[in-house]
Order: sequence, then C-alpha cells, then structure tokens
Amino acid sequence: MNITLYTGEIKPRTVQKLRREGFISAVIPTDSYPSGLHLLEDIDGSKLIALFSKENAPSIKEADVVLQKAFDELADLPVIKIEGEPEEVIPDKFDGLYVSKSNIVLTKAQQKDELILEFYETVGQETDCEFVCANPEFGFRALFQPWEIKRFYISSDGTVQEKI
Amino acid sequence: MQKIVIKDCLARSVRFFEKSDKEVPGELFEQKRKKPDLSGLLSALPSKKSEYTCFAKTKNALWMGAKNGLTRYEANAAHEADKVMYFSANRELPDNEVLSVYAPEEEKDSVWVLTETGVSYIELKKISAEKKAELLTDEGKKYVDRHGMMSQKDLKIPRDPSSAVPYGHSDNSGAFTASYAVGELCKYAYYKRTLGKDNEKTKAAFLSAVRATEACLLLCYVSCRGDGFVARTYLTKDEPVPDDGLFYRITDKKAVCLDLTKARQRGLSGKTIDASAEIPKRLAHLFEDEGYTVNDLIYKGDTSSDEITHHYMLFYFAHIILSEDDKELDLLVQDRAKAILEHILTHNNALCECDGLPTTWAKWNEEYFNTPIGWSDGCLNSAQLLMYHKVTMFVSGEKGKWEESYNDLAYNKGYAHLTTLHDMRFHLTAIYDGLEQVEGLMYGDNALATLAYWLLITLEEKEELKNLYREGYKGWNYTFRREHNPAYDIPYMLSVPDDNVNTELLADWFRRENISRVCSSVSINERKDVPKRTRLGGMEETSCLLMPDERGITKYDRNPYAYVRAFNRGGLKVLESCYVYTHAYWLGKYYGIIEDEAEE
Repeated sequence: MNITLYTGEIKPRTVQKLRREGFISAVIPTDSYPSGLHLLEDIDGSKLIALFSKENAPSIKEADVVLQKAFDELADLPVIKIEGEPEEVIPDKFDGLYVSKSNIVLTKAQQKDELILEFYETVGQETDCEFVCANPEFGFRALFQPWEIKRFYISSDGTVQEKI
Repeated sequence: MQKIVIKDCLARSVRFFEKSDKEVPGELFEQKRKKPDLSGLLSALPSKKSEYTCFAKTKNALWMGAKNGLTRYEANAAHEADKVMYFSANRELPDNEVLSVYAPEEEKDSVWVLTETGVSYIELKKISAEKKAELLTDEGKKYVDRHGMMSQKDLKIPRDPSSAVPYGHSDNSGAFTASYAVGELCKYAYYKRTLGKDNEKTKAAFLSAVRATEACLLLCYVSCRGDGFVARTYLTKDEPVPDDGLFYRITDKKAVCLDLTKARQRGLSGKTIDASAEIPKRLAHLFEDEGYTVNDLIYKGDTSSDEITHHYMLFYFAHIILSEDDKELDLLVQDRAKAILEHILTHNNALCECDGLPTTWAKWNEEYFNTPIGWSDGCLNSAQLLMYHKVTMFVSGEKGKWEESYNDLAYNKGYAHLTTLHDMRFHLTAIYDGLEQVEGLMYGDNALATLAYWLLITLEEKEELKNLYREGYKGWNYTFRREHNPAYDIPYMLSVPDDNVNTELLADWFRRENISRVCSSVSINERKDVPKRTRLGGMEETSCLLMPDERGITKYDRNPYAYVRAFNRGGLKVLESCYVYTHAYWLGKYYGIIEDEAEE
C-alpha cells in the first residue's frame, strides 16, 4: 500500500483540493480531531497529512494501522512528497456580484455550459452568506462551515446547484 | 453560561378556502397584476426578481407572488432570518401558482392569496415562546396521545388534527414519549420553582408529567416477562397490527409471537413465552381506564438502544424532579433502572429477545464492536452502556455491583477510551464507503450521543473520566452542531460550557418553529435562493439551513438539510408529536438558559 504524505502549509481547503485531485485524506486537521491521529508533526517547518490514492484505498482497519505506523515510523514508509498547494489563478472580482459577508471570498469564476463560482470561508467561522447578481440574474444563500470551499453551478435560468 | 434570548417569536397562522367561499374578499379577485419594483435590492429571493407578478404591502413588509410561491420581504426586519420568508404548497398555499395577493388591513401582518386552485389567508402573529409550547402541547394531548404515549397519528382528513384516528404506533414510541415526558417534567419543575406548587399551571404540569412518565414506565413492564425486557410500544386489541416487527399478544399470563414477516424470519412465529409478571397497578390504569385488561394488549419487541437510552434519560429526570412529590413513581423508576441494566449485564451486554439472542439494535458488547458496523457504532454504544450504569447508581443510590461493572467496563475493557474515538472511526468509515461523514449518519444517533455523553459528564465525578467524555462529546461536533438544534446544543452548553454555541440561531429555531405538527410539505425544490447540494455519495441537501417553518416537519431523527419536497411518510395526513419543540423549550427553561419575552 502506498501512502502519500503531503507537505506544506495545511489548511482544510488544501485537503479539499487534494481530494478533488483523486486523493483520499485519512486525516483532516480540525481542532476537534482526536489527538492520537493528528498528523501535524512539524518536519522542516512543514506539516504533514496522510493521503491514500483511490486505487490503493485501504480497509478501515488497515488505514487505522497504517496511520498509526505512519506516526511512529514515518521514515520507513514509502513517502511521496507533494510540495505546496496546486497552483491556482484567482480571477478578478466577478463583475456585478454582491457577496453579503466579507469573510467569504471568490476564488474561481468560470463560464462553461454553466457559470461556475467557487468561494472560500477565510476566518474559520460558520457563516450564512447571500450571493446576488444582476447579470446574469441569480440570488442564493449558502451556509459555510469554517474554512469551507463551496462550488456553485449556475444555469442560465438562475437555478443554482452546489457540487463537489 | 450563554443564554438563548427569544424575542419576536412568530406563528404562521393559515386558513384555506375555496374560491367561491363567501369569506373570501372580492378585492382579492380585482387586484391588477403588476410587478414590484425590486431594482437595487441586494437580497437572495425565492423567485427571480423578474418572476414576481403581483404584490401587496403591509405596514412592515412586501408580500410578492410568483409562479413558485409567495415571498414576504421585510427590509428592516429585527432578525436577519426574518428578512425574507417563503410560503408555499402544501403548507401555506393550495398550490404555488400565485395569481393575486391582497392585504385587507395595512396594520395587520396578513394577506389573502389567490392561487390557481384555491385561496389561503396567511397571518403572521407574534406570540411568546411559551405560548407556542402551550399550543403545540394542546394539539399533542388532544390528538396524538395514545394511552399516554406521544408518537404520531394518521389523519382521516388532510390538515385536520381533529380527524386523527385512534391508533398510530411507532417503532420508537418509548423514545419519543420519554423526550416528551422530560419536557413535561422540566415544565413542572420550572413552574413549581417560579409560580409555587399550588399554582394551577404547576398542578396541571404535574399531572401531565406523571402521565407521560407512567406511559414510558409501562413499556418497561408491559411484556410481563419479568426479566427487565422493554417493549418498543404496545397496542390494544382494537388497533391494527402492522407487519413491521415482532409483536406478542398476551393471553392468560402467556404471550404468543404473532405470525408476521419478522417473526418468520427469526423463527419466532407462534412461539409462546411466559407473561406472568405483574404490571404495577399504578401503571396499568393507563389501559384499564380505557376499558382494557392486560389480555387485550399486543406489545412490540426487538427493542433498540434508542429506546433504552431515552428511558434512562427519563429515569434521571423523573428521579430528580418527582422523587419528593411522587415516591411511588420514583420507586418504579428505581426498579426499572436496575432491572433493565441487570438484563443487559446478564445477557452479555445486550438486550435479548425471547430466543436468547440479542435484538437487532441493542448490543453493547465487544463482539458487536468488532463487527464492521459495530466498529464505528461501538463508540456511541460504549458511552450509552456507561451512562446506564451511572443513572442506575444515581436513581437507586446503590453502588456495589453496578460500580464494579462500571469500572470494569470503563477501565479494564476500555469503554471509556472508546467513547473518544467516534470522530476518527466514523470519518474512516465514511472514507471507506466513499461518503462524507454526514451521509453515513443515522440522524437519530445525534440524539443518542447527546443523551449518553451529557448524562455521563453530568454524573461522573472523576475528572479524568469526565474529560475523556467531554473529548468524546466534542467528536460529534461535525454532525450535530451543524443542525443548530437546541435539544442538542442545550445539553452541550451544560456539558462543555467553555465552548460557544450560536445562540442566535438557537433562538431563531424557537421563534420560527411551526405552531402545528401536521406534516405539510414545503416546496424547497422550487426555490431559486436555495441551491441543491449533492454530496460525495449522492445525498442531496440544501446549501443553507432553512428555518424550521420552511422545511419538513419531522422528529429529531431526520436530516434538517434534506432537499426533498416532503420527507415524511404521510404528508397532510400525518400529525407529528409536539415533543420536538416542547422538550427543547422546557429543558432550556428548567436550566435557566432560555429567556423569552412575554406575549404582546
């Protein structure tokens, strides 16, 4: 079984991005996470998180064992390092878009078949936010958990869906 | 301690009419259709601005109609949550195609609404949170109460609680009734403390609390097995027996397992078992007063840990609130707490059916914890079993073998540590199943975790164990905290006082709860302002948490983010129990956490 260790500054959004790229994270660094499974050891100023590729997804108990081993014997495991976060271009502010809360920031805007907007909660606070736009016309609400990234798909008739 | 301050508690009052009804004002049909001017409005609305076709103004608000329902917009609403409200079929409108809106009196917050198929009159009233509890309790007592149990009832006539049929059991009658009973006990204690024991309200609350407590205790005796077995519910001979579980008919001190699907699957069909244990006279009156004897009863078995956990919550509250005023009932509480735990301990930490095998969902032993389901379930179940020990010791005042067993489980068998592992195990299980955590959850487990950890933390004296239980309780944050349900957050506030909860959202929950529990649906899927969120495993949720009066009417065991038109089993022809509101409200009042302003 391969275990990939991600090194770099870890934020929950990092985990989400990596999951989108096909990794399954076995640890999410939240404050409430059991201390026994925190893989937040500092190594050269970087923090680590264990990731399993989907192809190598272990059973639950195997994951538990591997993780425990990873904490104890990091050096003995096959380690692939991913340096830093995947690069991303954050576009200019979306034209005509009103976002009701300042801690919710737009991180991506793409026009494909649907308009795709991605937002990120920046201060670690649960936030109910409104989004209103005149052109194209739409308006919707969403509840963000701390640090959460949400991606919305807006069709031409103003129907909005949130997808991973 | 944080407080939940409830101001401007709202009640949506709705009446339905035929278009030809004489009460419907003619002005409603004479309104000219015109679009409201919404230019520059920076609020997300249930319809696109361009889709509104008619409107009416009242003193503070603009009521706007569209083809997908009615919107009330109040620019200067005192509460953010009240700025935009949505009214839809079938709860407030006959259908969603709104053709005309008419406000008869500007001073009143009410409108007549003409739709494609009918008319409704909607009035928004301010009432106190206590008044709301009273209205809901009255509805429950009149139409849902079944031999003292509070589950739900079917209605013969849609939307008409008075048409409730006289039967209507539930798999979890004991659990739901225990939650209701704890609310009534807290109400009694609150009135006794604030109004005095001779006040009429206090006296009425006492009777109500006693009846609900008796109904739950009766379920702990009704099998007449004499071994601490608890029934899920019971029926009388005049109630239909559904084919959805194990049912036993009692006759002359014997009970026969009825020939139903579940019984056949388990090989229990027709099995005759002992039923010679006596039901205490004090409890038997619940069916005897209705003209039945024990030989007219059919009880439901295969009881789950949901039932047992809720019964122990009730034992705790009944003991601290009723022991002075009703010693006889307190003795029954003590007797059942010990008998049930004795049953569990002598059956390898499980509740067992008459074949000696565990029921489907009441296993607290290591064998179960080592199964794929039990591996993640075991964290909660270990907390439950430890809690049963603590409550038994508390209500009985006895330690001895209970304490010995508790220490053995907590320390030697690792149950105390296991209570801390839920978050990790549940997370890994979700990964393995390709789900997000909230998709793998049985929503009733949030309530079970609340009760188990809360009472453990309350009754545990050793700091090291208390801290472990607090750590375990926090491990449930991800699933229950997002609900902003006061029935979960009030116990959490009491147990983990250094962690803040969103008291404004909790106040909103009370302010915006419905004043009737008829399971009318709402048209979430027609709203433009509520995106549908599809989770990793395909579960569909709303992207935001809707106020209770704009989402489905359910018990605590359903996902409040569910994105469906109606996720109840019967829609307009089902009346739910009031306990969802009254349990949380009276709990908050009892502990001095809720402050509400008087009715205007």
